[in-house]
Amino acid sequence: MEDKIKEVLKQHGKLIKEVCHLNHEDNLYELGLSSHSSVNVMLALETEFDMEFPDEVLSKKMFSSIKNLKSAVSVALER
Amino acid sequence: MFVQEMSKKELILTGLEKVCNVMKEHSEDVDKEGRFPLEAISAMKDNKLMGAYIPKEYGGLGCSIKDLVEIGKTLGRHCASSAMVWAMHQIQLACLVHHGTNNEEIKTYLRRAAEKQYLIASITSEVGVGGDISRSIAGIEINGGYGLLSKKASVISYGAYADAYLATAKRTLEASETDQVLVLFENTEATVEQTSIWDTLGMRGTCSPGFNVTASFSKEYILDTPFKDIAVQSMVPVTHILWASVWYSISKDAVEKAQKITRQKMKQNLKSGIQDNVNYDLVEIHNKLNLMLNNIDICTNKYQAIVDNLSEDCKELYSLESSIQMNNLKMISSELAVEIVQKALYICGIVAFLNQTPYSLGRSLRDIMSSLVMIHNDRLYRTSSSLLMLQK
Repeated sequence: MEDKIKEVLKQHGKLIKEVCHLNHEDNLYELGLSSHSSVNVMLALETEFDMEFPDEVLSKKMFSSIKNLKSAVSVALER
Repeated sequence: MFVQEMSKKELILTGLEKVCNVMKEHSEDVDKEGRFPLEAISAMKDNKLMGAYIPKEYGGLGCSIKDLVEIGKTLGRHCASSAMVWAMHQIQLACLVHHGTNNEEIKTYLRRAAEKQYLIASITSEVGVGGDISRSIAGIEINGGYGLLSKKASVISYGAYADAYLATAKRTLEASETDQVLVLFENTEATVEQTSIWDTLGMRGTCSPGFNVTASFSKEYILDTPFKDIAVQSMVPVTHILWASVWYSISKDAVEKAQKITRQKMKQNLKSGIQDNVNYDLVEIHNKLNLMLNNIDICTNKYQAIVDNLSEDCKELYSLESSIQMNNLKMISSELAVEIVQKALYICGIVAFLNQTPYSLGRSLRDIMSSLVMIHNDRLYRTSSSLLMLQK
């Protein structure tokens, strides 16, 4: 799962740091993630994992780190 | 939990869910056949939603105007015709509840209406006056303790299915056209003869052809308040508020469909390497939906505050500002709703143009067109134009 998330971030996150150098807790917004690119990341994750994020996990915080993204994807896959 | 222990909100929400499920099952057939939505109306009755505005002391749900608006905003997305029937009936209840409870007969009727979940239709239209409800040709013939009325109505929504009617008429046969009263009579006291066919573009399930009506009733059922005051204080504001709520629910459904389709298209674009995905049309209709909602809520809050003190504050309803605002609510809600549904269809494209897809908007578009012509916005524009000349 983490590899897929990182691949999506690489393609759509427009981060200033190489994705392979990212830590789980790095703040993605401080590394270039914008509102616009976070939407692309969300849509791409939904496509990649063939799911839809439930309303309750969709928030700015969800995109703030790889750790939070993993957690959100897990919740979505359980539904 | 026993029904009587459930809070009003829980009752409403539980009932709404059941009614919406029934609506979803039958709405296509209701539209296709242009038939009365018997199943949805029965579900409303089973879940006590027909008596929503009847106060608890008479056995109703005791909903406020705000509660009715919240219900209206939900009902319309599954079957606009059923929702409109419900809304039009609540308007009649509002007239009775606001202006009839100084009358023992009306109070007794309200208790029965709550128990049996009666459906009440409005007979305000009349052949010869067009859509001008402030004039009547037919008058009441008083004979001892009874009244007799013969009226040619150009439109009675669900007229063939109502348990009772609230009709406008001249106070007496000799009264002037604008000296009107409102009278309640039950279907057992009336002969209702259909005179035209209801085969329309939209709102097909409201079944609103013309009827010739003859009724005989105890004169105790003639409301004391002159109709012109009932119109200003209750009928017009509640009509515009509840119609706007139903139109809002149709519009919201359309925006949500457009939003879902946009997401799908953006996902496809991302796969193709297109990163810069924006949909200005979606933003536009969402903005308009918000405008509709804010306007409805402001008018509802203002009217609710007045209704809570109807006898003292109602002179505010006679002000130019209030009349213009209430007219505006109908005009702007209808125009925005039509624009929203049209553009949602454009955004969704073929999946909305096709019937029987999860994104179909054909029936929504046909139903929402009714908002411009029932009653015709031209009438309201003319009235507001005159009022604006009086406003400094």
